[in-house]
Amino acid sequence: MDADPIQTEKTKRRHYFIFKREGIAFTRSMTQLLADSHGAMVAQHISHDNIESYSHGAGSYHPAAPELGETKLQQSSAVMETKFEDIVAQNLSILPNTLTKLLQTMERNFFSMLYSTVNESCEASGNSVSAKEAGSNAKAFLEMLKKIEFGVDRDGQVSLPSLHVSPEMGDKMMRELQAQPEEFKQEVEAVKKAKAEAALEKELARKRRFKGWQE
Amino acid sequence: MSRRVVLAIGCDKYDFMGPLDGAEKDASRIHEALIDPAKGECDPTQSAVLLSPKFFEVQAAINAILADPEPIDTFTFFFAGHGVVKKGSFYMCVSDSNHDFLSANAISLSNLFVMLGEKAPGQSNIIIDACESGGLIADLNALLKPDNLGRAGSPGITLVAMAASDEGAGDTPEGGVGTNAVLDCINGVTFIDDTSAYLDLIDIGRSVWDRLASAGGQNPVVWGLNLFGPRRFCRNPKSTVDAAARAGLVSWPDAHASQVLRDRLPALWRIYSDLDRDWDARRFFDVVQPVLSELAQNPSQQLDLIDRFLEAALQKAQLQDDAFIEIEIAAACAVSMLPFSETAHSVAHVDILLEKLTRRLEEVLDRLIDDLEAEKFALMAPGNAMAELFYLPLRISRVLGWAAFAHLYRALGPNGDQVLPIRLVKLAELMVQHYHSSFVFMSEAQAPFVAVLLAVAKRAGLVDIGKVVVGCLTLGMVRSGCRAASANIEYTKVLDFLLARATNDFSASPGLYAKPSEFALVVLRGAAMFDIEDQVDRALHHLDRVSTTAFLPAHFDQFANELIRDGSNVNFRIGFDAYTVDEIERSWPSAAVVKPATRACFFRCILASLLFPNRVPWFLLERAS
Repeated sequence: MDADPIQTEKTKRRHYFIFKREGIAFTRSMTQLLADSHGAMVAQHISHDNIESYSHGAGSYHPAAPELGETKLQQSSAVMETKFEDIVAQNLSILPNTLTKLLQTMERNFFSMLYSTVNESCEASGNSVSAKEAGSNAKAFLEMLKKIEFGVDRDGQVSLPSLHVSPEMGDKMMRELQAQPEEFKQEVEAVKKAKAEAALEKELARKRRFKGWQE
Repeated sequence: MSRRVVLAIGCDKYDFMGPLDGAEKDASRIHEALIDPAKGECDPTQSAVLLSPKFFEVQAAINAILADPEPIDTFTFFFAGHGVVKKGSFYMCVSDSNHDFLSANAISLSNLFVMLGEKAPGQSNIIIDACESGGLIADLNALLKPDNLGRAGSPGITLVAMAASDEGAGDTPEGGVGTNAVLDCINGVTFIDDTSAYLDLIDIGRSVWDRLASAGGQNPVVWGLNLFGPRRFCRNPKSTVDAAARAGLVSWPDAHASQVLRDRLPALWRIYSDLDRDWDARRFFDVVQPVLSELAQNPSQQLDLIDRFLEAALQKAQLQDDAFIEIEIAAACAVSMLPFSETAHSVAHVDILLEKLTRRLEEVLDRLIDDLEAEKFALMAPGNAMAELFYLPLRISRVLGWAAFAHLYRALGPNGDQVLPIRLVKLAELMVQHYHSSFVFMSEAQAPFVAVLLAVAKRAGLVDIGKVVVGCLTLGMVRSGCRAASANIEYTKVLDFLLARATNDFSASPGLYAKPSEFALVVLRGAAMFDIEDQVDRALHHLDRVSTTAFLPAHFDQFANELIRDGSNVNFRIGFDAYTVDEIERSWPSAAVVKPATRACFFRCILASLLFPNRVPWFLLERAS
């Protein structure tokens, strides 16, 4: 709720046909549009199952799983500048342009936070692979595959890891992987199969820990 | 008990003087108005009207009223008839009064003053509609004695004489001119003011003077002596709740407070004026907080503001259909002081406020019990039937949560160990009987009410209630996949939420349910409190991968804020962090649960969670041993 600012006779500025209620509703619509668009972007990269919302506080932790550490919320912000001249000139393009800029800023912030968080976690756990040390991107890929654990979703399906790379690197990697000899490809498949089986076994062991669960 | 009495004397018929026409009628009209409970509030069984009485009858009537040992709060004496000033004294002539010996057979005002001085009603009002009545000034010596006046608690006297000592008192076919003017004030024909609930005879006298003096021919005189405290002559027919509220909010003896209120009055007034149709605790808090902050250097002014607003707001809120609005207003007033340091004054104040709130809450709950016993659908809100699919579960939780609060307040008060949770038990039984299927896991906004309910049920040994509540909610949790609506869900999205829940398909609106769920953690910890962990554990695999959370504030001065920044969210992910209720309980971070330092803060925090139900008073839920 917008509170009226305190004004004295000296500081009071006059306004004319403010359209206050309408203006507030417009701003709310814009904010909602930004929020929905940003949410859609995030959902493309992170499953909703992995998105949490909090009403209060600046962080969270798991007392029953202290190894997960503490998470601190970080602020993501973007600045929108609107010139009176553009408004007066009825330059409608500023609306989509501004929204796009804001969304792009928020998207950059999001990925920056995502990758810095993942990086920190990997550095801490030692789950990192150097393409240089491995000798090639393909070998680095195989080494990475051997290091990670596969997951199992709530429907019992093994979820393969997703690789985040730039479009150029993605193309390069695909070409390299496709150019590998058959033995390499078989080793990759064998690792995937073993990882998938291990994931399913682990999932079964996990479910067995529930008192009421029946196989 | 307030004792208000009127003695009205009207004399038309005289043995030794010329007859009058209208005095009896004047006395009757005054008597009738002042014994009307909507106007004068005088006791009709102890009041009297004497029409053309003899002197001994008047003496007997005065004696009957004043000799009664029960103290009188307000005594009104009215006389219409012949009045005479003789030898420096004023006399009111009755039917057998003889001008030759008035001191023996007429009502002597000085004698009346002596009796009033001795008997000392809290306030005496004397109205004389008679010629030369202004001559009563000569008899004031009988009153002006140090023994009678000046001490604290000594009586007040207001006198209105309808004519100066050298004037006659006019009359009309409707009655005496002066009496007509007084009755017009009592009956609301003449406007005096609209801010006070009662009219003072001084104000009426001033109004009468305005009217009669401007008409010419008669100049009433008005005296007020020893006027301590409120002088309630009669109810103010022009008083409105809004005018009284405005007066309460505008007039401040403290200069700084006066300036602050003048600047903030528009926002405060908007909150107040909407109370008969809309109440929003958050809006109230957001408006009042800055005002209280500006008055922070003067805590007594802060509390004064709360009292004035509360008094006006409660009256206005009575126009609402929702019986709990008054409770929430009182709670919001108590909570608004949460960010400020406690003083002895504010602690005493919150106790008074809580007592007021709880008493009213108990009345509302008793009424609800009666309604439910008479009609099983009494809890259903009028109109908007489909919306009840969502709001009825919330309403059930709220009613039980508030009932639990009422019991907790009593149980932690004097002789608390003897207080029985009768209302809470009765309400819980009625809810189980009529609304068992509606006690479901619907919205995160149920969490604080259920937390309070479970904590109080545990404390009061209401094990069966606790088990039923936890059992119902666990079943609801499982059936819904632990998808309760976010506590902050927009009203316009509730339909979408229900449709998604009906089909168990949230793919189009994943953000509508809470994740993680604080409500789920309340229910799971409730299982430990009432020793039904095993039953709940056996159902926990249905909640695999569900994230639960508890927000633990670092301190409580922000606990009523829309966003509480200082504190941590404590998470338990079922199927990863914990697989049983016991595992949750054993890792519950008791040391991180800050407890309110004082009783005042304790109750304010609980009220804050009931008003703004996206926070849970976890300090109430001790770790199950």
